Amino acid sequence: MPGRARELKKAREALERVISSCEAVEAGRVEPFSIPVDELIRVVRELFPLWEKPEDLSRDARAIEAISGVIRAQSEWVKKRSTRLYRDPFLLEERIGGLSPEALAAIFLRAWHPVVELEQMTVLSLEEAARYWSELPYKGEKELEEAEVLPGAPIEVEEAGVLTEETQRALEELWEELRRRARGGSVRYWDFITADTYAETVRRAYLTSFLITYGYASLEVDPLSEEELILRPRRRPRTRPREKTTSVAIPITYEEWLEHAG
Amino acid sequence: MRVRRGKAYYARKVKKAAHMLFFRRHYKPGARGSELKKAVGPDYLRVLKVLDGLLRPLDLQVKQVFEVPGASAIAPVSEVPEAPEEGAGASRRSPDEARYYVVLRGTLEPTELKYCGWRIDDIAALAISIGLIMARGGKAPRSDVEDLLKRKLPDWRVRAGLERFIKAGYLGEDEEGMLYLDWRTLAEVDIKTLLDTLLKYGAG
Repeated sequence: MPGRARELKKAREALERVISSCEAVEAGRVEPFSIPVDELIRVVRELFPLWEKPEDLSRDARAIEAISGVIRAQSEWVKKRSTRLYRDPFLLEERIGGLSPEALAAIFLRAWHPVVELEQMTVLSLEEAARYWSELPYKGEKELEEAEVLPGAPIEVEEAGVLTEETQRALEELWEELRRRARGGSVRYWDFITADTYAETVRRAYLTSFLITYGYASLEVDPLSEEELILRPRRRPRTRPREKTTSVAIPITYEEWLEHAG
Repeated sequence: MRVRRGKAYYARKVKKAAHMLFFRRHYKPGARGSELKKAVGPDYLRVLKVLDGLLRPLDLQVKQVFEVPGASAIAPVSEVPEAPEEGAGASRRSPDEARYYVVLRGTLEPTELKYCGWRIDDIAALAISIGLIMARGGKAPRSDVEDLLKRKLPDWRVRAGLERFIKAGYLGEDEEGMLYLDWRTLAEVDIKTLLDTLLKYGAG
């Protein structure tokens, strides 16, 4: 029945539109009261008799949940406007757009109490650094070979900078595993890379570095402990970084692996 | 029963707390309450109050900041109760969860800006960004902030400025490209005063 199929297709699209407009509110892209909730509920109610398949019913439930999110956002909006910090946004935007940079800077200075912090080298830290430097191996070939002699079986690493089809597949699998384990959130870096063997741990760390470099995941410092590293998978890879990025070298020593695997 | 302690008892602890607050050890300056408790002892709030008193003549103060997105709470440590208030209920947050910073008690004069390495344009751009984000309820698309800044500043300065604000921790950017107020704004900027002054400026 092509007529029925067409009707269902249009109905599904309508429901997806309801969901995406509600999600835009929750993401803060659209003002909560610019969404006609009554109209959305009417659409969802009218479409409901069409649904028979579980996936359609599930989509219907998602739409209801999304609408409830809009109502929650509207409630927050009202609550916010009743607080002391609320100022008329139109007036505020008008005002900041019309002030000169000098006036704005003068206003900001009246409300700015910068944090005071120091960075200072001490004799103790210089001594520690000198000790570290004297123990640091040279980058010569011999030393590199020694550094790469790892306990257990030798580890083969793919050609640097060239992603083979096999590596690409391994990356996809690892990304899938990361998303599964993060469950929409994050997972500790060491928990994720640590495997039963040291060789496998190094391999996972190597592949994870590609996931981060190619934008499949982000590596962050855990805001709670401020020491632990956490991995946060992205829904789709990012081609252009939006946040500030920095290179991080994470040594995967045999001792550290023992500590985490133990 | 509260035990009275002498100056000597606090001198060592105040020194330790000052080191922890002044010297950056992590990604952010300052120290978390739980860290201070571990290093200084369970009476760290009293120690911080003693430190706050010592810093007063230098125009500095210790501030307590609860960094909860959209509902941060900031208070000078001198106003923080040492023991939980009676009837405060379970909803009252533990001081151990807060972060403590040493901040300037007063404010800077425009001529002092150069000590901080900021140009007047940078400060104006930061004020505009914070104002717009607050006007939009705590989040604003980066493109909107850029458009507003580009009305008065060259494109390269806008881009460089926003990157600098994000790097310094004044602004944050989420995956959707929305800007929000990050930890440093919460710790350093008196948002209420800023918004009040912005609205009242030149209004009579």
